Amino acid sequence: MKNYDAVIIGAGSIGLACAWALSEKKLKVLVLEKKHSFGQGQNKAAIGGIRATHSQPSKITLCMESIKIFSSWQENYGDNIDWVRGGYLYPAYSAHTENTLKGLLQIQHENRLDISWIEPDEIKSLVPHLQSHHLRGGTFSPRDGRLSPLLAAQALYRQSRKQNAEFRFNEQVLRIEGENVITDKGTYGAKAVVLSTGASDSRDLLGIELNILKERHEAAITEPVGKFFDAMVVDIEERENAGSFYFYQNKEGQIIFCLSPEPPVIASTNDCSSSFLTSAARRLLRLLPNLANLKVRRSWCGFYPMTPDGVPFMDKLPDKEIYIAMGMCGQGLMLGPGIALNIAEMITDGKPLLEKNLMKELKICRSYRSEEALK
Amino acid sequence: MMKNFRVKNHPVLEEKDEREKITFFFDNKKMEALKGEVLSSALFANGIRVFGHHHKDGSPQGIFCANGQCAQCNVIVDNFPVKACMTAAEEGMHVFSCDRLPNPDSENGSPEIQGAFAPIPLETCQVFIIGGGPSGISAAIELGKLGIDTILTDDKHEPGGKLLLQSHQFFGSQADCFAGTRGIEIAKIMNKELLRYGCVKVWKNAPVVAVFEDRTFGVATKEGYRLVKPQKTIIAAGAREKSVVFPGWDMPGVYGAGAFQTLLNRDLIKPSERLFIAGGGNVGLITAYHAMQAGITVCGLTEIMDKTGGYLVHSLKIKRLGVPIYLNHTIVRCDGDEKGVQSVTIAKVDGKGNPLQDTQKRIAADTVLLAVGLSPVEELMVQAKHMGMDIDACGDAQEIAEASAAIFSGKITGLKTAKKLGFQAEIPGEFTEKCSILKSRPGKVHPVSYPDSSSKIHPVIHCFEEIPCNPCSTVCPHKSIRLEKEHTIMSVPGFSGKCSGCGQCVLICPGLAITLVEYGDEGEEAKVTVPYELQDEFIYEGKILELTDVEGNVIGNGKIEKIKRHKSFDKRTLVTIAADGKIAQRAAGFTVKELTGGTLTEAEACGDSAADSEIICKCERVTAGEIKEAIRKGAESLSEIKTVLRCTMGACAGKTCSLQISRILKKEGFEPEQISLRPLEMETALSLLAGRTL
Repeated sequence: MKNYDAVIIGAGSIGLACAWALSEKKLKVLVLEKKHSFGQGQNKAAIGGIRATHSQPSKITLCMESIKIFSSWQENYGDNIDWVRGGYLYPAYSAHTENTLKGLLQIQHENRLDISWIEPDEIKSLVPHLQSHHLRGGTFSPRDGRLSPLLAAQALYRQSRKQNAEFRFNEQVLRIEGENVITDKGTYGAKAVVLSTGASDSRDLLGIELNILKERHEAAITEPVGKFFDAMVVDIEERENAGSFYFYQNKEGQIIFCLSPEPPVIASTNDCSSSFLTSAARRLLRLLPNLANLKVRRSWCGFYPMTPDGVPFMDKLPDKEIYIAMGMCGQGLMLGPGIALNIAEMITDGKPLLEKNLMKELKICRSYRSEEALK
Repeated sequence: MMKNFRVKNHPVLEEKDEREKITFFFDNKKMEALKGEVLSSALFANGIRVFGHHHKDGSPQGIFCANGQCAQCNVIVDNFPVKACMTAAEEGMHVFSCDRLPNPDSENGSPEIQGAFAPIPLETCQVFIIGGGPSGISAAIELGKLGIDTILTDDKHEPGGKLLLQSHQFFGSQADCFAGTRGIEIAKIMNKELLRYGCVKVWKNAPVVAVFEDRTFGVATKEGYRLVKPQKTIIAAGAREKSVVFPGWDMPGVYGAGAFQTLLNRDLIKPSERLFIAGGGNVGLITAYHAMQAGITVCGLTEIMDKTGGYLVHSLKIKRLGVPIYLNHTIVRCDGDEKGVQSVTIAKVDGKGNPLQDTQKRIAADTVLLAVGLSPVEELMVQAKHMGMDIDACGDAQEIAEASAAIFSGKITGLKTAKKLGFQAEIPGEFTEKCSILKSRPGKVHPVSYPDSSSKIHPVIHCFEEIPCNPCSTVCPHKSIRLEKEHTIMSVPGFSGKCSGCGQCVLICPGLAITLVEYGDEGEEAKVTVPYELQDEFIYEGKILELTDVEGNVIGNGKIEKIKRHKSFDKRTLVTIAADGKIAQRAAGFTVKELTGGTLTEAEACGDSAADSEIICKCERVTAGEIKEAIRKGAESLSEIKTVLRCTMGACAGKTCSLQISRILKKEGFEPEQISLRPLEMETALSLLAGRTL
């Protein structure tokens, strides 16, 4: 039997980031993945937005950490991950939205997030052609950005391999017994186990049920069009049975857009719905009518493993060397490096980077009293 | 002098010049088009075959699939790209070459979105048929006979599928599937019958773009986007052409044989002067013939195997006309300039299909057709099954075969679906049997033999390979032509008995493989009557011809004595040639030198094929070398190659390149996975998906 300092279960946005952070600390790492390759779950369904613009201090802090890692990745490790610091724009078309967004600024500023309220004129220069009728202004966080989830996964994987992390694909973990991880192909000794199975069920592995519901979210991508804006735009107005709508233009010039269904759709399959393309196209054209003739190329679905308050679980089981990094609420990519650095500290140093009061927000047993406003 | 790029004096197809002429503009230049014609054909008619340049590397782009599947023919209309092959030219339309990404800053083409959107209509039906080719229409007719509420949707302006491109007479059985009738005529007959059934709705210009989890299909009709929720579904979406890659295959002027047939036979465009064809299956062989009918020179055809795969009668027909067929050969590269292909280089291959050193030969050609096989269009089927829908495929979407087989598989699938709906519908046992006969690969080849030459007048049947075909055996008024086997049409015919020289057999044989020989009184001189379907200008009374035997070998000269045309001849001409009696029986045809051949010259070894410079993914402009490099750097699956190089993320969604990438992965020792199938099947405008505003 081979022994490892850490066995990571799941090679998605979180597992890969953990593999990178732990192997960078010279730990002997094994990653077990049931699919044929890394990043085959929700990572490849992600659209690539990376923001620290949240309402919960733990998430703001974790994501600011992630942004540091991603924004300097190419400089430090050489791989291009298509990182673009385009900022996040939350336009307000109603008094209600304006109040919501302005109401968050204080807590965001307290947590050192670079964000400010900007006027319609400034919005117009950030995103030309954006619908200006009823536009009241919005918040803009210039240090947020986006990247290619596929390239980021690839980069984390390559760097982990360089740092001697081992990966085993097509291997399903059956159970964890003491310090042993038992799969359908063998048994591995593990001083620590990191559970990062994303939207895949892990009840059997843990013996306890985490409070996670799988919400289905849909996305689509257009053919490319000449570059005309850099920001990620998030329209949080609720309209036509849908919640927030967000989109950006990628490096190729394609517009990628998502629409959060309201009420949420709890689904077990990731097949596309017949209503999404129409609802999302309508939302996009209301905001950018100049794209009426642009063609949609592809659409797809992903799961958001949602916790009741929209905040992830990052915790250690009492009396066991099992670390939980689950329930990312569709933000595994942006939370990944931040979470991974904390897990690495917890394993090697016994305590995370985050302050205690922030760690409370991430416990697997918590009160869910305050909720993330920008899910 | 302005060259004419429209087909003139086609022996079979009727010219469409009576259609109203309209004016449009291409890059601000005024041009003429025929009303209703697609932009790609209108541009070809004006001598334009470069429609734009790829925004990534500036490489010239033009027609490739002519079927709405790729986006290589994109042009700009109203500030955004549209597929030239699917967009009809309109009076006053401003069309621009697609040279860069569309500019979103222009105010053009940005209809203001005002008011609320109307709901997307949801249509229900008992049976939804996707694809209006021979199998789809046949299925619809069977359902129509039973009064079943059916919608048949097709992505083109008129149902008929590939029948609309087939100007030749069909093989098969006369009684069952219109053998001896031309494809274009079969389409007319079937469409007419389809109209008889009020319960069958036919949607034109209406591609199915998606399948959804609630078991609905998204259909992008010209009138607007709609959803269809059927009880049962039949996929009759046909096939798409496979590709073969070599340096230069991505140039304008290299495209599918099906695309060529679309330009030529549907739209009567003459896209080429000198044509070269890769692939000796029925599609390649027939296309060579179609090209010659339009007055295009066929320089040659390569077949990588040691024999052509199509019906022997098809290959012999073009060999007799003088088309060189290069067996055990492949195309190794195409060369040209900004305007497209100018020459093609071929080479001999070893037993494994690899080109041999120092066997390269070059020939001038302006167009190269890829006819290297078909693969079923199955994405919708796979996704619909995954959603748990009750769905069956027929025609090429089920199994690649002749259109005659597709007609039967459509009938069978129609009846099967009716049965599932609880209707009293029996599938006659003979349908299944006939369908499987019509699907048969060519069978045994019999030795060449000739009838007893003592009778003064008799037919000579130059048909020695068993194929499912019987028209000759049904037309002889004396019943002197009989199939060798009685129980199946998969047989060769033979003549014995009386012949009055009526010529019916010469006129009906789809393979043009029957001649009529009449000896003079002394037996030293003879007249051979040969069927002819090319343009009139190549034959005239008194012309001295090279006579060819069944294999195309020149066996002597002859002189045209009589040319007979009649409206009952179905556009075929009977050419009577005076020839030496000794060669009369062997004379199966004559060469048409004006339309065949060309000079092969020695070509240097192709240095850069080792560098893998050929493009594999045309949408994202990725070369074989880049893919191999990615694999060397650690990519082991299609998804990883997609991640680093964007292959399969382009407009065609991997329809063209995924097979090629899988092949490379396999060669490098990896087992490629199935690429995940997702909507949309075809890029669809945001405004269409959003629906109309109230």
